[in-house]
Amino acid sequence: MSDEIKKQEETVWTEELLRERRKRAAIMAIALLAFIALFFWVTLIKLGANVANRPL
Amino acid sequence: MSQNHKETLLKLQEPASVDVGSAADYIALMKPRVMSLVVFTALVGLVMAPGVMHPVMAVAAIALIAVGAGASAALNMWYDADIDAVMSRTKTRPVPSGRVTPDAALTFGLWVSGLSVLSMAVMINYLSAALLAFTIFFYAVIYTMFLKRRTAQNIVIGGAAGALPPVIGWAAAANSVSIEPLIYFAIIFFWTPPHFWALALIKNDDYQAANVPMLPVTSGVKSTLSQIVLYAFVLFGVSLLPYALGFSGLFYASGAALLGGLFIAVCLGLALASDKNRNLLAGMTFAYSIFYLFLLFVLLPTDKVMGL
Repeated sequence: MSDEIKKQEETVWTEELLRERRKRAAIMAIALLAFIALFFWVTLIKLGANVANRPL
Repeated sequence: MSQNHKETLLKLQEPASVDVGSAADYIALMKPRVMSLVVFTALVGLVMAPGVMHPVMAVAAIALIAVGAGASAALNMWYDADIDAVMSRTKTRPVPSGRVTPDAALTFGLWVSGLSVLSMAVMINYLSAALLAFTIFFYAVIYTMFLKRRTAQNIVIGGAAGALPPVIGWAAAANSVSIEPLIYFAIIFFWTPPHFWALALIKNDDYQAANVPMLPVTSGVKSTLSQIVLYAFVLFGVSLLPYALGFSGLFYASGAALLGGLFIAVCLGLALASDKNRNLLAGMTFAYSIFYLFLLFVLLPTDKVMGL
């Protein structure tokens, strides 16, 4: 067992710490979704009218 | 370094064993107050650039510059955790206080840096991505790892990192760099030393305890005060360059002259202050310097809109 895993297991995860951890995970998920949405939107803008310009 | 100081450092350096950092800790790791100045100056650079940028692209560019700046701040906090732990101003930061492990701060800083630069290259353009990468490298490696603990000129040279955001903003919009953004760079570059030396005067004991060779620590208060006044005069001249070179009008020039004149007066007040009042006036100089830079960068786009 690595030291890191051992330390993780020794840490007492109080209710407050767990609540903070869930909040952090939720905020990270929102940030990632916002990043994906921004990436998608920028891609659409860059492609512009060229979206329709493809061989059929 | 005294034995006591070494012991204090070792005691406070004890790294957190497990990352229990909250979302707020990770936001603090990105130095949001510094980030706000970066966002603002980058936005001015972007607005002042020729051509029109799609609003969504502009939002993406500014967000990526902010995230890149935040990532370099996280790398700075990872590397500086030992000295942050002995300074009153910084000891509650996420790493020295043990809420975020050094490994977690490093990993976060590296990933977010990479992500911001790559996204800048894909979404905006290669020039702005290269400038962002250089800014992160300059702040995290050149300033934090090499200059900060070695020379009293740390924040003079290191100030280049903080001065680059308007250049990145300009490059994001125009895909080129011309004389205008370089003048904005020069304004922030010459603004940085008096701004930070005013703070260093107040926190002189902290910097001494942490063995950081800030100017008041290495050259004394008197020499620092002369340097602050000297930089205030140079800044006054540099801030008028946009008018002298013909890309800002009389509205900007009068505002810059008024604000710059006041800055010189505040710095002279600090230089002539008695020992008793020095900290108070250093605090005022520090606060006014932020107000000064903010207003100067408000004047630039306002003047452009007014077209005077």
